[in-house]
Amino acid sequence: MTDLALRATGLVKTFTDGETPTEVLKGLDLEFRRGEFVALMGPSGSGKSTLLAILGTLLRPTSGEVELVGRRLSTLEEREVTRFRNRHIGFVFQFHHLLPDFTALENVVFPALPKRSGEPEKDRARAVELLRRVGLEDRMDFRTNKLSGGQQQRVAIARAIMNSPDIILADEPTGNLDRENGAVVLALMRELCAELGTLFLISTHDDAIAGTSDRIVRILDGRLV
Amino acid sequence: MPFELRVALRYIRSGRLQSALILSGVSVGIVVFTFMAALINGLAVTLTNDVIGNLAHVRLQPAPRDPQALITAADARVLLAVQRGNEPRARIDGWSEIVRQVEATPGVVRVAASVSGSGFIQRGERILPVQLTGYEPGRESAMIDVASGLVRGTASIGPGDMLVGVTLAEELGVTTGQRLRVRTDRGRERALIIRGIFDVRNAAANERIAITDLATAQGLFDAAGTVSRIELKVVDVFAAPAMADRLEAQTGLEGVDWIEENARLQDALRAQGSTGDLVKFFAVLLIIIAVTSQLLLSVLRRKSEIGIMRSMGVSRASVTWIFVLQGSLIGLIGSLSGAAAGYAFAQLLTIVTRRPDGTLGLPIDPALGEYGLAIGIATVASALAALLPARVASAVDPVEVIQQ
Repeated sequence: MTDLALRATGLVKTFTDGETPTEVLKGLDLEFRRGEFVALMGPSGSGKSTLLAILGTLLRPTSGEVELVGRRLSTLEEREVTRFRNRHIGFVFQFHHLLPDFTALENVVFPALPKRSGEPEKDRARAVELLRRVGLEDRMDFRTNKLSGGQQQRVAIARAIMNSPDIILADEPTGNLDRENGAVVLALMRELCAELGTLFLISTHDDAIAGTSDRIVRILDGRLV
Repeated sequence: MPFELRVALRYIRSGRLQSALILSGVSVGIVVFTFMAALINGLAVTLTNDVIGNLAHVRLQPAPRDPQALITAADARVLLAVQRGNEPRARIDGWSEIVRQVEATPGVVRVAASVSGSGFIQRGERILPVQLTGYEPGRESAMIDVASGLVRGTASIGPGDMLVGVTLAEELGVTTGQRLRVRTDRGRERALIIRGIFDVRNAAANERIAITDLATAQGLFDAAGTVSRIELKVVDVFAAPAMADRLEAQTGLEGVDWIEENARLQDALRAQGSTGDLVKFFAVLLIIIAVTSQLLLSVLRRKSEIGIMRSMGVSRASVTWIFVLQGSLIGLIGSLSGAAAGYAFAQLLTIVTRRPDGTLGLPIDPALGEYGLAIGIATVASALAALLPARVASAVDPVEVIQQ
């Protein structure tokens, strides 16, 4: 299947607190295609965030394998994983997590910096274009703490797609926004998913997201339901 | 510009109050460092100049000769001994040729051949011991700068003339134009006319030194046609031992340098230098502690930002670099301003403490503040001080940060 973006097989994650092991993920098998808009739903503590962290290469599974755009992550060294994450994965968090000492434009450019492309003007032009795309071209030189919550989240989305990743992982992206701004952010992500052909995997409790998604993956107590 | 440097610069610029405080801390440390350097080095120069101002830097004199065995014995050892005090008087034959050779040696400033010995000056009932040295005409001030310290008369003398120190003149109650009877350890006597009285700011010299013409001294010390030593001043006073060795090899005479003869001064200068180094060490130590603690705070405050950077694919090495560069920049900027402030402070002190006669109350030399060294040490020390915070930063777990 050529348009397979992500495949996870037999994912198990166990955390050990003292001598008590807690199995958070209990053998998940997942497959996602490029350009899919997927809602990942489940109650708090069901393992959604852990699953996103493993798929985002921030955590290694206790067992099982993740294959992202044809690469098996278990075969990569830490440096390669960091590099891979930079090129192929974008994150959007509930609390936007922008860098407060940098402007909106600098935040969007940031993921391009570790690539050391040697073409800062090209990177900047792309970041300007992305900010225009998310409707914030007139805010690009603002420090991020001068922006509203909705604007900050739109900057975070522009930042996540800066390196044209294959997959965007979003953890409660509308969880901290009012209904109106939540709708704007959701619509933006939906449009970008269609435009860019990027896989959006969104952990959420928001029924509006679930309602617009191509597919809903439900997780309960570490298993798919 | 590498992005790590851009981030480090931005962190310094954005945390204004914190940055101002830590930069002030580094600056104060460097002010202490450079001030100590300017003071200790200035003191060393002043002391050295005071001592060597009235000394030859290198003295060439005949090497003590080993006695020669006149008999040999195949199965016995011949023991030879020299009875002290019975050696023939030191004399350097062919001295004018040697003086020419030494004068042509690079690094030599002035050369003077002389005949020197002990004697007494008598006036009425008073008899005072003197060290009488005779120089060629025109070289009376070559070793002891009597010309600059002249308080009365002239420094240029001819046969039968003499220059004496101000203390000696006062003790005998004499002035220029008067005659004094000089008697040497060879038993020769002659009345010499005082042509000049000097004050070379050295008690021993003002009290004991008498300078006369070479021919006069040769006559008084039974040294006709010869000299007892050749003295020289050199450009680099601390290279005097090397110059002594070189001229020893070149002339066959024994070379004695001022450092060898003033070991106690060297010990004192070393002790002073060590004290200064200790103070400088503590100044640098304080800089290290201040930079480490400030950057550790900065890392803790920016933990979530570091986690986000890691999630965006910034490597641990890059995170380490960001904080090491931040430390280095703090060290560099703080020490540059500290060096400038230290120089200004030292300059100010030279003005404030200057006495009415123009001499310095504090022997501080602003030019000897070791500014380059201070900037280099502070920058490297600050970079090293940043290693611990950088290590803490690179170990930040992005998952922990994001889930918070």
